[in-house]
Amino acid sequence: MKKKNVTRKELAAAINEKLGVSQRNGAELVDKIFAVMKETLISGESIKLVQFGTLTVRDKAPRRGRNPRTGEAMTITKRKMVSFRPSKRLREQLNS
Amino acid sequence: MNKSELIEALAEKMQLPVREAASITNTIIDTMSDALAQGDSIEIRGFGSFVVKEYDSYIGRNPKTGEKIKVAPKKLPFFKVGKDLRERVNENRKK
Repeated sequence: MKKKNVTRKELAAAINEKLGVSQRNGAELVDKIFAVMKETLISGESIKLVQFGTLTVRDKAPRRGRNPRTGEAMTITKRKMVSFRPSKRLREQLNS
Repeated sequence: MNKSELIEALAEKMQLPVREAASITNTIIDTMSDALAQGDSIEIRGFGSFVVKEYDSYIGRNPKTGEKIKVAPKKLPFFKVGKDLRERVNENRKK
């Protein structure tokens, strides 16, 4: 079976199906919920969804790197990254 | 932020009763978990994507005792942050 790719469209359809919200409103709700999560992460705050997992904003230290094209050595400045730690429940669900 | 805070924020922004915002949030989380459990990926433009990686079984070692152990095959979800979110978490740094 070919692996599917779930996008906002499929999430909107799921809301429509389960809750009877119109497809268009479903899309708006999906957009809004991800917008809220995005703002939270941009402000540096983590999001902890017990059933699903935790999204955290982590600081990455500066390090020496190279430009892969020229081979020139350079310092990669410190930056932030978003990391995800799946919950125990999600890990179990994937392996059951 | 935890789930109830996310639900409250959604309720406020969409002018919805909290109970309705809760069903919506739970439906989204359940749909995402089910998709990953089936091995599907999730891609939310501007936010990020979740992909399931499959690992074969391998012989590992207990790092404390050095003892060899067989690790069962497993699947793990990975998150890759989207371009827009990645750039925006780094915005404050530049100012």
